[in-house]
Amino acid sequence: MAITSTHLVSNWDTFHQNGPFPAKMVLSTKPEARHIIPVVIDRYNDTADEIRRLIGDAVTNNERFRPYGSTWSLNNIAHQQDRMHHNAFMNIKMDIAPADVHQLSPYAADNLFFFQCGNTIKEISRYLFDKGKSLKTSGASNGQTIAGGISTGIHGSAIDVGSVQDYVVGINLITGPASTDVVYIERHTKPALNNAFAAKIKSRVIRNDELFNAALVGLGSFGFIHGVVLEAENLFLLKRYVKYIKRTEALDLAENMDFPNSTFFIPSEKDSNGNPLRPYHFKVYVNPYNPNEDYVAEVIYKKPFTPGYPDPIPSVRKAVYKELPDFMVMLAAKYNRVIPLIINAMKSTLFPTLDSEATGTLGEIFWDSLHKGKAFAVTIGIDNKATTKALDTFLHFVNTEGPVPGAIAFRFVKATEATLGFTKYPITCILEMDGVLWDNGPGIISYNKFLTRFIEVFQQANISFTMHWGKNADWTFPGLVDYMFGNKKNEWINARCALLTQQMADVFSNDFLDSTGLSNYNTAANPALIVSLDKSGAVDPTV
Amino acid sequence: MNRYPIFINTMLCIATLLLTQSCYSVRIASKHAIPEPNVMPEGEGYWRDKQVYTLDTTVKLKILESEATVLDLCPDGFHSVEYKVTLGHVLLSGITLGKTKKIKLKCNCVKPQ
Repeated sequence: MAITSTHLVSNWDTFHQNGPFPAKMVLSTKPEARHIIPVVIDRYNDTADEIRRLIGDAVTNNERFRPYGSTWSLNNIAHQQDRMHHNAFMNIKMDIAPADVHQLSPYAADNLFFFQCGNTIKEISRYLFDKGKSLKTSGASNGQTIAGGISTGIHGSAIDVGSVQDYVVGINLITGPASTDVVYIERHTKPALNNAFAAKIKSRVIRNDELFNAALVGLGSFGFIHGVVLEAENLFLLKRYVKYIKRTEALDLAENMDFPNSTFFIPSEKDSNGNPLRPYHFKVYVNPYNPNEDYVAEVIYKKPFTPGYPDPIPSVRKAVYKELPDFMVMLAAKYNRVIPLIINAMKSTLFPTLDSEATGTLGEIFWDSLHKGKAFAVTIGIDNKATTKALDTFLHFVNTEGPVPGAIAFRFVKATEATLGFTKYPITCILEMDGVLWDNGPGIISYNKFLTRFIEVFQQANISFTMHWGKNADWTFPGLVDYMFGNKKNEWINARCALLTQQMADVFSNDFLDSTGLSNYNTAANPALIVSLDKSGAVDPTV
Repeated sequence: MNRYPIFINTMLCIATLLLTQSCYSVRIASKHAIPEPNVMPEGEGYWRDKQVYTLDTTVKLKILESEATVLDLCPDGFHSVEYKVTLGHVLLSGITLGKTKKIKLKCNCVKPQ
């Protein structure tokens, strides 16, 4: 039997120290040992039974229940003050056999893998590597759990690929304490696994695009994500270059993505006609406090996998967010004029090393991150056509109302199908500032005011934007989710309300959902949203 | 009353304290292993998201023994180990001709698979 440890606590915090937040109880479940339950699917189902028991216990005690993974989100999205569940030990992995694949599936069986919620990106990459496979994309690092990562929409900067959730093709949810509350959902237009597999994991099947797309970036609120089916691909290499790029070149590429005709190119990365290749990944670093300085571009090209490349780890090791010593931040809080000086002085450590090259797998290039203290990160998504306007708005804001201790970057991701995926534009430019969380002081804008003013400034500039669910923002800002997603917000709420009873919707809500208005319950949600459909969109008689 | 010896003794005590506490740490980590997570982040830096186990003990070797093995930690493997050596540890080992060794380490195990 899976074992759950109970930890009575008074507060809970994130990896990046964005709390602490008040909490009462943290539960942590480990699947039963392999020698006790040798059959992997039995061990998985045994863990599901334990999670249902824990949910039932929360219901009995009239308390909310919230799963969390690696605590990497920089806000309170993973927090819940009653019962929190730590998932990171739930790391069962399963290959998918051809006999498990739906007969109308567009996916090859050898590219499909089933991962329990607590597998981290690094863990998944390692598992896939041993099978000659790779994730298609990841975030900039690898510590997130797969359930936490997709729930908040983690992304990299793979221009033509998308975010991590865009390669999830099936989700196994536990929506309540009853045995009938275990659900396997996938798209009806792209079925992945067959009914027989769903029966093996004791789940009822719902194939429905609208429900699946809503649950994909579900903010931890569509029930307990117990497992996901991921589509991988054959192992490949990435070759990374870091070069100076002129502002005009960077913004032209940002808005047009016309790499073959750009004046910025890597000489060794051209096609047989001599035209510059379109990269896999494009990211630009900006020092916000020196307008005359060239930007720094990180450009990565996809290559076939060949063994024997030099170890890339020494050149990609890094600490995300914080490279500024504490005393500098304290100094900056008192005398904000020193911040630009600090950022200028520390540029070589804030940005990747210029003119460096590294080759490695996806899992190697986007390597481990180390904790270096309290951090903040503000990340917005905009249409890539609006990059110049948004960047200039951002620069003007931090130079007139700041400065604040952080550096800016922008990168690009293909649109997601997830209803509330923040990468919603055809190509989303992800404009971000990462830095050190500062204490309020007389010489610097307060952190909370910075977050509020950020939204106000972008709205006043009439820029359409979204915000990364796992990053810092004034999430209590009135009408923020409506501004970002319009009617998609109601689509998401309706799908959630169709799937969950009102009682369970509340159990899986938290302060974050309450403050964003996403925990609202629509008793009139269309029950057709949880009807399983066949590939043509008709009700599936086989389910 | 001559206060000079008191001053000398105090300084000697401080110097001894400082010397025996002066130390270095070395951390060895596996490149590809997955660290065992802790239930909630604690502390700062490298260990914040890792379950930490510590060993702070003194090993006394018998006359014919020249090495010691500690089996209590990480039955399935280590993800990372950080050991600390102070001047006091070195002196203790030297004075006892290597038969008494102070072991102070911090480690993280691999995540159970």
